[in-house]
Amino acid sequence: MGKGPRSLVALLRRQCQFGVLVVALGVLSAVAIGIKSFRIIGGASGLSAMKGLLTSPAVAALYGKPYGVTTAGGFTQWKMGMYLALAVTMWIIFLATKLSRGAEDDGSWDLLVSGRTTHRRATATVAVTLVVTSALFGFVAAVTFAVAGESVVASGLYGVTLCCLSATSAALGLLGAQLLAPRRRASSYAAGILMAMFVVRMVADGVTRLSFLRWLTPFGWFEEVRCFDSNRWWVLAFYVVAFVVLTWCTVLVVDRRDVGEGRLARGDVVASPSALVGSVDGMIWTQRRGLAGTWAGVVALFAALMGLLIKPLVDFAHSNPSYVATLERYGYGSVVTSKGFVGEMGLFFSVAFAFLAVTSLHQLFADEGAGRLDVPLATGVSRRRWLNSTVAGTVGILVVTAALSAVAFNAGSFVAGGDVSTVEFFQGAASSLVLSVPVCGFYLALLGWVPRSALGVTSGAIIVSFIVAAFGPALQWPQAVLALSPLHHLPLVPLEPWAPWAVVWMLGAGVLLVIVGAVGYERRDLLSA
Amino acid sequence: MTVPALALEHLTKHFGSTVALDDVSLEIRPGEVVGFLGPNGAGKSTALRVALGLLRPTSGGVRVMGHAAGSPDARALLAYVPGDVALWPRLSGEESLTLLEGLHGDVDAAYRARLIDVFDVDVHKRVRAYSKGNRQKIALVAAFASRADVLLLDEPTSGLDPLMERVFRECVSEAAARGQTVLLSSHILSEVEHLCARVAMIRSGRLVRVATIDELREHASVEFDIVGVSADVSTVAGVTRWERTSDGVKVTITGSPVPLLHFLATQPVTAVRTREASLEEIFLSYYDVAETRG
Repeated sequence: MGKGPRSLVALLRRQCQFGVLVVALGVLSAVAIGIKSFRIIGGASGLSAMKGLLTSPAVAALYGKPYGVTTAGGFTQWKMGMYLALAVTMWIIFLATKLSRGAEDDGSWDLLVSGRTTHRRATATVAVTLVVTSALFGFVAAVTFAVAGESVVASGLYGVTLCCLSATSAALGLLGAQLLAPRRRASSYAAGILMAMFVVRMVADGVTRLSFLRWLTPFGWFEEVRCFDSNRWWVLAFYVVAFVVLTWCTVLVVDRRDVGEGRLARGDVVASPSALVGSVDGMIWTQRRGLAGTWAGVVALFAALMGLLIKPLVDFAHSNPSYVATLERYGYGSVVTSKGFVGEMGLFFSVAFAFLAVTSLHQLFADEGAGRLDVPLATGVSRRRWLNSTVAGTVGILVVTAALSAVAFNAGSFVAGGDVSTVEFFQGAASSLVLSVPVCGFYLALLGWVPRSALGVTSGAIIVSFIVAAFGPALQWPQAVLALSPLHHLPLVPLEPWAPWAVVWMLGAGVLLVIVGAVGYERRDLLSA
Repeated sequence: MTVPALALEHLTKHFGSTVALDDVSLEIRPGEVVGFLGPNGAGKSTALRVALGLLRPTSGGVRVMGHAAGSPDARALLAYVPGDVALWPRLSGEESLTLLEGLHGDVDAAYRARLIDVFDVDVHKRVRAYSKGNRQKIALVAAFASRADVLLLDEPTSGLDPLMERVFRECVSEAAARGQTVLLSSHILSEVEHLCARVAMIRSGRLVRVATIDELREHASVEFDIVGVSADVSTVAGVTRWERTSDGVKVTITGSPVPLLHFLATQPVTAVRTREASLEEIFLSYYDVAETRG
């Protein structure tokens, strides 16, 4: 390897090593939690009570088809695998666009490819970095399974499958980065296609006569490899073909476009300028409308699917007393009622709303870091005014998204014949919003005093809170640990009544943290570009 | 007594252990155009960013027409053009202008239209399609069209072509004629010489010289080529450097030439040629010292 490529590899490694480490730890934790869960529920014998549930189309739509679930590996793959795969693939798409399109957007790519390293070669180096990263995730998963005592061959196949899925997604992200600019646009399209693939998989698993659709999506292939069951290595050929085709397209596009531009033309002329941008509030909304629309759409789609699942799940529970007993034994007895299911789903919505809040607030940091706020804040409005409008805009987006999720949840439930009222759906959505208040406060407090750590620390806190609340009870973690998660203190609305003190405590802590953050933001130096 | 348009009062700014500004004091009178000069990293941009309220001073302060930097009153009086203009890429040039004007509150619409015309910028394009120079033009249009009392310009022409630089000079002259105050940080010394009546020179965070252009010329060194003289001139007052040449001596003096002329009256001088240092050389002499020390 020449000097140029070596330097590029070092640069890429430096750009992604922390994120790779965090995701690798996430993969390890997810597999370990899955295996531990299998043991806690009593292994294969404990699963017998849930046999009918596992094969129910509704559950298959959520988790995928159960293959080899009588082994810890198969169970983990079924219980954790699909969402672990979704998280890994989404992350690597964002990494792919960061390393390629992101560098072109900020101009650093020009420096990289103006010497010995060509544009094509630099892109190839990014691709290799992404494949190596994917291989690392697969390796971590495989080793964790193998160390836990699972079949080495099946563990290896799982690792290779995860690697293939991740690499294919990375190739999709890299192609998006060649076609579209800027990075946000490239990421949105690639992530949108991946989400659509995931929904196709859900439909294929949920509707028997459409099961052939599974072969059209990488998430379907992920199931069809059937690790820890029949170990169908040949299915990996689909990934190889998809990866080769996407990479070939990338190579074609790389040679046919200008550096800094996407291959697909974009409209750079604004025929009718928006008058909204003349005010802070209008500008805040203009900046976030794409984000709000995307999140509202995804959350509403998820809510509608959950609504469709309520009745089948509850009906199944009522016809399987042993299943109910198993769930109650592990602290999930509430999901056997419609209202309980809505309450349990509130956990997921809480996390989604919290991330939406952080994403919206983080735009402030992005603008500040890029120097876009220099002129407005030096010659126009105060920092406090901009911050207030950002918070108000974020609250507005959250409320509208929560309302839409309630409407969609209700609509799905209505179509399936559920018995939860519209008001109860709205109560559940409102309860899910409560977590966002302390999360907003936490993010803003960090933004005010240690701005560069705000996104990472807040995101990490949300993920840890979710893991503790979602898996802690089943894994029989101590009460003191469970109490650390704010989610643990929120009741399952509408099954349970509101807990006024928990709400007051969280709102109070959130508001206090917002004030602390605002004081810091007023006092500190603005970051410069 | 007139309130200064801009007053840096014992301004000190530390970034951790780095001293970016060290007890800098400077007053700019209303209607003045002042050049702000210094090598890279000297503290020019830091001083401007403190004056804009973007950075908080470690000690001392800045007042804009008597108002504390960063206060609503100060912001209303200021316009700013950074060296590297960052705008929202999805907005068009026109939307960017609408945003900046909407937030500032003041705009001379007719002047704005003229500025868009003379700077020759297509405001219908999205910012992401602009070059650095075009982004700079948008910021210049917004700043001049605001008719703000105090213009803080941080290397505002670094991305402009010579034609646009000329337009910029006309705009600054026009602003000065209207009584607006301009603090111009620039490395284009001819631009500073052309536009500014006074310059402030900063080096390693300390203000080393504030003077009018004429004062700088007065105190600048003058080089004498003297033919027919071979005597030692080092003892003559004002001589900072001398050397023998094939037909005489070459002498550099700073300050009054009278002692040297008295001395030459006693010597067999056959010819004298003089050369004054250009302003660029004067400016660079301050930069050179910084480099030597740095």
